[in-house]
Amino acid sequence: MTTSFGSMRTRRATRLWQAGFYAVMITMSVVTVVPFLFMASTSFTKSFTMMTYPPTLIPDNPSLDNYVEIIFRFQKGLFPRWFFNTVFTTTLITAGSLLLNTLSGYIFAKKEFYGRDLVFALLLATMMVPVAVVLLPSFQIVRAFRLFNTYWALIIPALATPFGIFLMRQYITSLPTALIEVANIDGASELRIFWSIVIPLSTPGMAALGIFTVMNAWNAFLWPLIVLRANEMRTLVVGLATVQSEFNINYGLVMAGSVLTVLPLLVLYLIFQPYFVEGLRMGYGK
Amino acid sequence: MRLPSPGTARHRTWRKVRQSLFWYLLLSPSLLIIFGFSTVPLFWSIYYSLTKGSMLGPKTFVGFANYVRAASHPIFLRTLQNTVLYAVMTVPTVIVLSIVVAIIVFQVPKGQGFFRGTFYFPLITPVVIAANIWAYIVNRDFGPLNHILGWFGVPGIDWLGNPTYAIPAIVMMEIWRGFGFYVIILFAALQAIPREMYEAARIDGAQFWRIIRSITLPLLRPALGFCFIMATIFNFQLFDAVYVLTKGGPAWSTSTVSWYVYQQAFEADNIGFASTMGVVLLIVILTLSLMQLRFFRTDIEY
Repeated sequence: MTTSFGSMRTRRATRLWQAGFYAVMITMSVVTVVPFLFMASTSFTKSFTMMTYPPTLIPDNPSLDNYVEIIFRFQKGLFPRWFFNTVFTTTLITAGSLLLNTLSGYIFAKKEFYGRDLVFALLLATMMVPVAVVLLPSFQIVRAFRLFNTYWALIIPALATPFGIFLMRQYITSLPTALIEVANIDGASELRIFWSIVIPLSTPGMAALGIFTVMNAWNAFLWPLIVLRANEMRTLVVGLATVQSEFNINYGLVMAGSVLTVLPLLVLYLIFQPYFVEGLRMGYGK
Repeated sequence: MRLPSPGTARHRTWRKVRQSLFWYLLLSPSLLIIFGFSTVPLFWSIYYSLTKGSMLGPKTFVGFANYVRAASHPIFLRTLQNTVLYAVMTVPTVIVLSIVVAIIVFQVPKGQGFFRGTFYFPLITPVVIAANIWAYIVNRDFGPLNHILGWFGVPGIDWLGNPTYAIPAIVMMEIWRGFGFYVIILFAALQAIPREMYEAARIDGAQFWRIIRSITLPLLRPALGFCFIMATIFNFQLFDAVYVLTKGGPAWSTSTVSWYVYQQAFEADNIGFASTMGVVLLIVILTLSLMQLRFFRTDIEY
């Protein structure tokens, strides 16, 4: 039996617990985000003044010098070129891989054919192979096809991924088969069914996969580092990493470049965040 | 519903063969790309690991000589030891932290989405940029971390220049950058646990810790298994952070196997040995993943 006193006490205890939980969560959020605030603050600081101590989050004399420098002056406009390279390859990779992964996911989800489960299991197994093992022969394949130092070296290997096929298969499996079969009876061709029925029904799943693909393409490091060696072919991330190692570190300049690199992702993340969480959940399979 | 197809059993088989060919034709771009850039290179690497030579020059077959050499190669053994050390320091820490955070986020009535979104945020930034920021945070002379430690009387630590502190500095970054991923997975798993289970336990008079221990954790087991396997696969391949923060130095003290493979293949042009180390890494990762799969396998359905 619960007395009013008892329930009062438990309610107050619950409230205390919750206050504690909020305090912990807010502290952790601050710790998670503060490094990025340092990034932003450093990008607005002239590099000789930033060596001042103690470190501050708000620069004394904020200036846009670093941004002007990296956009217009840095190595005769190399940064805008890197930006273009990244946008261009990311766009093609995302468009192409959405198409290929959705098509493949659909076939694995709804079609019956010899060897389907075995091929699908083999696809998933490739996810366990570490990059270090496949790096060198992949590089040689790229050279054999004369794709070294071209955008295609970046784009083609990213056009289909086991994760993407898995995600789309998960999503399309949950769609009602009847909807697709109706068109089949109407005599529509398989590709037409895929294009005008499966794709429209799959858009939420494709949004989740698309946002992942954009992030992975935009942030890729090791592969672009080895297949795009010419300075003007680099992507933003690789360019920033090499600036940092080839010259004396000018933190202000590097951070301005970093802010410009992260900003488009931040905007996308804020818009697509619900799809993102949904995609992770589907990927895990719950 | 599929209409029954006319004809004999042989006709039906023939039809399925034709249909299979059609679907494989449509699948062929994806399959060519995925197998062409993973399975083919894998066997190619295994072949290379049995040879000695340079990227463009001739390769001579040497049998298992590279593996024998690797077994007593001081730098390789050092990088392997470092790789294990990174994983041992990172994986359990990041997952325990994520369980605690996921459970707490699950308890608060408002702002769940905000907290999850915030914790995931570092993952959308490139590792290279996260590492650059981290290099600034742990800088000996003007980094905020040493400044905060200074309040407690700790003298300035040369985080990335000192072998003792460099690995923990990189581990801290990996935890900071990665924990949001596991929080989202574990949170999703928490949501999947039926509320009635908690209510039944509460009616039975079970306290908070008891509920966590005998309901939440056992039911999280499949999700925890998934997290452990993903974390192991990620952390055994640490490369980007090492490239940016320390280049494996000082004196290989922070080098991982992935970094050393890259260095041997693309800087030292030592193809055979680089491939051998890659294959050893593959065997280690596969063994650990299979062990974890066995350990976390359960029959719990809910």
